[in-house]
Amino acid sequence: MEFIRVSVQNGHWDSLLNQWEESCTEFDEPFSDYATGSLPILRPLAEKDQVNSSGVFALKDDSRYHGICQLNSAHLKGYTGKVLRVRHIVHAPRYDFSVDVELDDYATLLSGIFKGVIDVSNEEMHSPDVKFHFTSPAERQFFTEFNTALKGHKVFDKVDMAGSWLYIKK
Amino acid sequence: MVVYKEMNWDNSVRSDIGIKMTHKQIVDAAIEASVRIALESVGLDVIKYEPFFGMGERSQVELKQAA
Repeated sequence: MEFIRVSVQNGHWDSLLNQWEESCTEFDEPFSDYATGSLPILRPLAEKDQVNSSGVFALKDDSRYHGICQLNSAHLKGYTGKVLRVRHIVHAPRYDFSVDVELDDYATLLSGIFKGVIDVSNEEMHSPDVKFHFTSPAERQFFTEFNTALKGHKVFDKVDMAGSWLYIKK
Repeated sequence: MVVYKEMNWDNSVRSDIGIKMTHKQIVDAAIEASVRIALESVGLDVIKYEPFFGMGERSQVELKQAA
């Protein structure tokens, strides 16, 4: 698995859309209705000229795009260094529509995205702090448990939740 | 859970079962374990059928339309 920038410029955005549309078609689902809260926001970010401080990133193996998200690194009030904000995490349609997807598959996907985000925060978008945004009740429940579990490992200086964000200080 | 106790000269660490791990490997393992715990807590039914990272939005639209 690799966590890569996705843009019109590098060709990955069109490849991803084509692949996900084919996937929706396989499940007799209209692609136009898939992830309507996020894909319309990610699209212009992938289409515009790319900058180092932001972009759309995807978890990809040799053949398939498994998930995408928006990354933005910026100086924010109250922080000493840059903060990498993660929004609009979206799973590939197969994870939504296939009956063959198990908990292991979701775990591999989300772990891959989170590890990729931490790697980006250490390299391309160097940021001492990382914030993950969530929107739905199920995502809140997930991040509440993730927060507790991750704190227990003591691999980051601080892990906490506030509002609709999970904060990690590395 | 990731357990480690011994620092090596090259900044890697040694786990309780004697496996030498880099800091990145330890962080990655902590993320993997925490994600799994969180997903198990949420449960497969919620993951599959509630709005969850882009999934489940269509079923919610259909429910609203049906109502």
